[in-house]
Amino acid sequence: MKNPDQNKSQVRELLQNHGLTGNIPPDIRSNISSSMDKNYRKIIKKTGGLTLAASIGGFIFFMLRRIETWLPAAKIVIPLALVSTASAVAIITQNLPAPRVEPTMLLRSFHSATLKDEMVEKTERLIMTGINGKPGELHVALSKTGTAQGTLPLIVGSLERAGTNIFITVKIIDPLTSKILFITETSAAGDKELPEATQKLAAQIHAFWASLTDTPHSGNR
Amino acid sequence: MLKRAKPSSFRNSYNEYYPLIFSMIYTKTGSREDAEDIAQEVFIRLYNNYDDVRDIRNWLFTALRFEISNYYNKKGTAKKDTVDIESLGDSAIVAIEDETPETTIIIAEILADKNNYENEEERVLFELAALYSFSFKDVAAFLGLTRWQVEYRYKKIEVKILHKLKEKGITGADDIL
Repeated sequence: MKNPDQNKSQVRELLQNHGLTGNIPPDIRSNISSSMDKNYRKIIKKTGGLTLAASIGGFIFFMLRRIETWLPAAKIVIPLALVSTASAVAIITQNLPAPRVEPTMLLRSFHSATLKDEMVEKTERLIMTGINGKPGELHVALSKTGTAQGTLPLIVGSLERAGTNIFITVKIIDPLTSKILFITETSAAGDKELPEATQKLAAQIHAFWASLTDTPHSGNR
Repeated sequence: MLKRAKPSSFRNSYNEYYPLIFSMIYTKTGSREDAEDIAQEVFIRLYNNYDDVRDIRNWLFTALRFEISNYYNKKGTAKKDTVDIESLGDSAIVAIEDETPETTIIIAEILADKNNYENEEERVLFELAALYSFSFKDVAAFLGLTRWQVEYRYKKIEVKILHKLKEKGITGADDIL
């Protein structure tokens, strides 16, 4: 019998030879189908759809149970009402607009090949604190330029030591296009001068920020 | 791409892209649990922004970079240093790096050419089958098609791609044609 995926394996061989394929073990592949529904339910649960439906359903259920104690006819009405309510909730939940989650922070990732992680994290904190007193404002500013559509701007940076000097580079990237919107760099003569250097960087990023907005930014400097 | 009007079509997008997103993450992390968690976070983010997303594919791949970085930051593990987040570009191609040979880049560009595919579903179909070795039967189940529909479309795309490879003089394509 002809192998149904025979042709696929030929083209895959070419892609594999050029390192363009992903290696997914057969057992993992076969489990994706079964885990898809489970993960979908988790997503909907986390986004609040099921919680809302359960709350409304529970409220109606207990209210109807109370009515049943003094109105015998409710024994017929209640099941009908429950089914109708469940259907209505399902329809309403499906058509509710997705809750808007405004960005609350800037995602960043600083790295260094020559400095310890603690030093990198400390510098990253200094820069981020200097840049943004109210996290999210930079995203709003970038959104006005039409560069960030539903995604957060990415601030990435690197720190490298050469002798006693520390060189810092910071980039702001539009995640949708991977375009570098802004790049700035500075150096510190030693560890003690690092806070001052981070303030310089923050000021330069503020200037860029202000150029994106109609009014000057009033955050930390 | 037209803006989607209702989040109810989120389920369709989930069915279409989940296997691809999961596979990309798994290829990078090598952990099923991590891949499921990160994929879940990516789709929660998509759900929350669904009305504003114009190009789901690009949006998902961008969100993917963030979520992998976020995930390992939250977990506080060193794993993120071993995961090449930057290579998770705007394509499902899994191994393009700075030192990639020119031939490989040409193949990747040909695969990424939208003209090979009549629609986004066909593109996902081909990527799942060709890049991640999913069987036609599995792809059919993911996309709500029959196995034969998948095989027909796959072969159609394959012919287009192989002709383009041949035009570019990519060795190895002749044997297949």
